[in-house]
Amino acid sequence: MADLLIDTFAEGLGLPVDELSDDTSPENTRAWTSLAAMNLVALIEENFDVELTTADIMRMRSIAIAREVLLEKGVTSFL
Amino acid sequence: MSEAYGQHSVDALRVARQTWRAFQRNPAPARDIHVGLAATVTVEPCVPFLGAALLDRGFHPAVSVAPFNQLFQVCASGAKAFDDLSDSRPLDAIVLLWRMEELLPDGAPGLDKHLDDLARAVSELGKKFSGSLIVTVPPCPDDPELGWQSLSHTHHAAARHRAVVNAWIEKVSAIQGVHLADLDVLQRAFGSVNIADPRKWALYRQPWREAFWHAIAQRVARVLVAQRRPPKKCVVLDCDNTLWGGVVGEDGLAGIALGEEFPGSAFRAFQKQLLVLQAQGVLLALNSKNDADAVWQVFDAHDAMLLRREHLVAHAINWSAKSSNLVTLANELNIGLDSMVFIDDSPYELEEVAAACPGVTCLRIPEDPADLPQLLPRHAELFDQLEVSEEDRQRTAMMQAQSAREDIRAALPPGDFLAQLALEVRMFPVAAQHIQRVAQLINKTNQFNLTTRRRTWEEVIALADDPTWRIFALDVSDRFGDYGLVGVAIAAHEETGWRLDTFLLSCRVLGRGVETAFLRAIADVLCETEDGQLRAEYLPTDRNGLVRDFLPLHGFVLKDGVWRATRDALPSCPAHVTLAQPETRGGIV
Repeated sequence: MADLLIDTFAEGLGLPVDELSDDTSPENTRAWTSLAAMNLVALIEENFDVELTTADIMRMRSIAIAREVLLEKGVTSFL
Repeated sequence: MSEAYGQHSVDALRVARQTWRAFQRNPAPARDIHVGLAATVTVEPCVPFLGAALLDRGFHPAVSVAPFNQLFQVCASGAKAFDDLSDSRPLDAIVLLWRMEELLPDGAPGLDKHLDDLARAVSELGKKFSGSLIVTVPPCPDDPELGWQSLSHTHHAAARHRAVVNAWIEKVSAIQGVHLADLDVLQRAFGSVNIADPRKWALYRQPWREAFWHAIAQRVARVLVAQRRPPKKCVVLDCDNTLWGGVVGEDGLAGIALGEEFPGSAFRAFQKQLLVLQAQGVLLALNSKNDADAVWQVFDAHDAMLLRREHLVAHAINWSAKSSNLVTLANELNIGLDSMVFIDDSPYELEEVAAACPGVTCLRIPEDPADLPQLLPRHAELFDQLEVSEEDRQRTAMMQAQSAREDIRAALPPGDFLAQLALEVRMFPVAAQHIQRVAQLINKTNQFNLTTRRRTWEEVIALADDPTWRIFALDVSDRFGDYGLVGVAIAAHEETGWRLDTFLLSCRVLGRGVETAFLRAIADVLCETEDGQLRAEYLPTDRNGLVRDFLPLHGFVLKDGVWRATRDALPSCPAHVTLAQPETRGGIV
């Protein structure tokens, strides 16, 4: 099933979708550099039409947490 | 939403990133431009947008980034400072992007000295880097610590910024071959509040929203493209409801809208802009379904007309299809349809032209005349030109001299016509004052061009300084006037002798034996003896079929894939052409 959040991370990290899961984090993903993180912020904000705070950004240390943050902001389009 | 946001909407950003990503996955085609970005801030968000902006303009770019906030080091080490893309082509351009916040923090004394240091560093980089150099004009600082809205302080950062911008533009303009991309103008179009991204600044030293990076990329791409591609040559205009409001054939001279009052003022503003284009070398022509007398009555008798007959190089006022008129005008002016811009108010006419002449760029007059003064500014990129040469400024007059020649030609047998012209040809080695025009010809001449090798201004300067290369230019005049600097030849000295690397002539002197005189003059200078050999190439393109047989017709013989001729095998200068002795004159500036 298409998952817009996974797609967004795939684009931001430059990795294929099947290498990503909710467990994907900077610790287990070399491509998740600070430049990639910056790029991800832009993509997440554009794709989900949200505005992240620095606290949100610093908390998003895995795709699962990114999902949580978006849910807290009332985003459901990836569910 | 303002125009600025429309062009830089979230959808536009998304499309640009997708375009760039798809292109990067594809190793072919070969990259034809490699741009290096160096900035005092994190510049990576600009990369996909610059890549996509160049792709949209028909290039196949590579983009590299230098380490963060190391502008002076980049200036000192040149291309070596950039990501190692050893599989890519060498850098063709370096963009230096800086802000006052980093380089001239508030309170730093010796503003002028700091700017001098930066200008000197840029100038040093220019000396060792032969590609093109683009530096930014810094945007007005939006540091809340400086710009806080205390009434007594609001002017503080802005005043300092104005002083910096004025001094910086002056210093950079004194450095040859460096071009400016003005981020301050862009920031004003957006509004500084709208471009700032304090979160990314705090976390990543990246101050701006993506949309602003998109705008910066577009601006930089325009400069890069203008260095490499000629502007449109001719604007072809409808008359009724285009140059004035209303239909002169029905409303009469007194009934059309043109003057100080709206809507007439909008048409006058449009005419004023057309005159600005004309003054920088764009030709103006008419293409109108009309009664010619009615149109000329407006030109001659309406006192609010800014456009006059003498501003026009050609006209087609008749009841024929506008597309066929455009073809006639293109032939008459000896330019390609793809260098013409057609402006009309009628969707029907525009569609007819677009279908029959797909090369022509069609612009529609906005329905609300209030929007008309925005039409040309919005399409300014069509006419982008970094330098305006004397030839550009004289172009309309030269075209008019040309039609006087055509009248004589039509009246006389061919041999008599050439003899009547009293052609004079002067060849001279290229000096600094010719570089601009020479680079312009190298980059825009399509038809009479043996090799179509394009070179930037900087590359031409580098060759002019290289003792193993010679660059010659040609200026031509006849009894009707000067044609200006119309020919360029570049020769490389190699082990086996001289190779003609570039040989081109502007279309306006073709068919007069000038090319034969030029070739002869080159051989006389380069080949010391009668049997001295000159080698040449013909590289076919879809535009230069005109010179397919030039080499064999001028005594060159194909041997081992290379055209060769000895000096005595070349035809001598035609009898009707006077060849001034080389190096007797510096040519026109």
